[in-house]
Amino acid sequence: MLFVEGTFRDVLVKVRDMVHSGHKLVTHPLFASSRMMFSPFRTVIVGKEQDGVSPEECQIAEESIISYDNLTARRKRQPEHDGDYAEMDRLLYLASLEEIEMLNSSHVI
Amino acid sequence: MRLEQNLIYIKDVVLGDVNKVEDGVLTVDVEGLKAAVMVDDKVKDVKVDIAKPGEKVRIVPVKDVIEPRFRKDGRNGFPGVTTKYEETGNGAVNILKGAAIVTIGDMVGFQEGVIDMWGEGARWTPFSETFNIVVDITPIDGLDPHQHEVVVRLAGLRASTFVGLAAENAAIDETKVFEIGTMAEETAKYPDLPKVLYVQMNIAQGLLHDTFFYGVDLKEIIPTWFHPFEELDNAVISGNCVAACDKITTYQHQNNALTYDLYDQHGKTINFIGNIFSPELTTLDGKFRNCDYCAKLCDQLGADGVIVSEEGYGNPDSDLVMICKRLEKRGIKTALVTDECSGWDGTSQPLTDTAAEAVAVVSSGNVSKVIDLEPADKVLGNLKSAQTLAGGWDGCVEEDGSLKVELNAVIGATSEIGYHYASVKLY
Repeated sequence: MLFVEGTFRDVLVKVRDMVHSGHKLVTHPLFASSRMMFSPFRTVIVGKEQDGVSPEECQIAEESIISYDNLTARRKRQPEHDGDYAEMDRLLYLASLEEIEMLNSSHVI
Repeated sequence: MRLEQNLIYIKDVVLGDVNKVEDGVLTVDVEGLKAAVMVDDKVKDVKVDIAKPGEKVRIVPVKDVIEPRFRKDGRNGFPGVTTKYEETGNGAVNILKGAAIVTIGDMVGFQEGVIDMWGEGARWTPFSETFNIVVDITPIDGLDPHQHEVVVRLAGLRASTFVGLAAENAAIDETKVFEIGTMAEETAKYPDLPKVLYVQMNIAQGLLHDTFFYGVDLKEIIPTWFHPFEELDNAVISGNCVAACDKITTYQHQNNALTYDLYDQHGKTINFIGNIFSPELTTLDGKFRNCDYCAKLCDQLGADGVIVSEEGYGNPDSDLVMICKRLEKRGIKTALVTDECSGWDGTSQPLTDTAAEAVAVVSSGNVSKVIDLEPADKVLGNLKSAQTLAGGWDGCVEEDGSLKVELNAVIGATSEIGYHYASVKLY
């Protein structure tokens, strides 16, 4: 577990750097709904370093930053919602773990 | 399949003590409605209000919108969810056209999702034109967010079925008949028309980000071929309520505009051979698997062309582009329908992902467009949620109390299945 002190964007940059250095991108860096993009918290699952760098995963990590910037360019922090955003990020992270469990349940990936 | 939609046009709604329709006026039995919702012992309280087109009423935060209907054949509800599983898409259904159940439920504080019944806000949501029966559900204390979501979701479905009872003996204004046979039958009828499939992507990612087909969570399926009429007949339910502008409400599933348009062209310009769900997952392995499988399914079914609609914004953009690439590589012409996030001035890169193969793309609107919402005379729902709507930037609240919000916040404003008011112009 790696904690990034900073913003959602700082997490995206860290993920981008890790994917470029060979880590597998396991979950997509962005949420699926625009409102969640204003969350100050984001959990992204990356794997161990793999053989070679995946261009497709690098592209997804890069484009996620561009997309995030587009959506949040003029937004200010709304700290009164921090608790709810943290809880939603946690619950969606747990759902991703269940998804990984389903993918792994019959074979090794 | 053959589906008969008996339409009863609703011109007004009043609260009363019996469910009935007379001369286009829908009367709703309020106490009966509350009792139908409170059958769930996790519901502590229910408030029922009416919001009519033109009234200075704001509804927020909207959980779901559902069209009230009645089935004559006994299966009256949502199969696999509120009634036992039964195939949908065949038979006759009476529809209170112009009425809608709007549920309110604030599971998290930052939730938005607004319907304004008047003014600028009304221009952007299709549910400003419906007579809305607004059901505000308070659950018992101590529920976790997952349980809370289930309670509000089911309450909305039960409310719609209860109000739909008014359609049982109402005079029918118009009957629309939809009929499509098996793929073999239709291909024999229209051998020269291109075979077209509709791939519907749906968010399937966890709390407030789920979709259900006959009650089955789409996270747990691989892409599946189904008959378009099943969706039009209560087989699909929305569990989404964070992406207000581009979530597909249950009402929009019941009235999928792309399905209606494709059916309209069936036998004229295309042979419409069905719909496919492609769940939008969170893992890249899951996305690769589903997008590959989806493209293979389209290929196996012999599609010449495919229309793909997205739900949500952000990580689903990757699925959209991956499906497109895979279909085009198989020689299948592909058109995409998606909204875009192109900044306040509309000039930024609109989608998270791009691809050279994505050459036929229809935009359903810019989620970042800023609109003004003037103060409401009455707010149904949560005043705090109404305040949350203000965009969170300098100058987003005017002196007279009006708010500047992005379309993000408005229910159905940029619907990626086309059930909305925004349109596209070529310059």
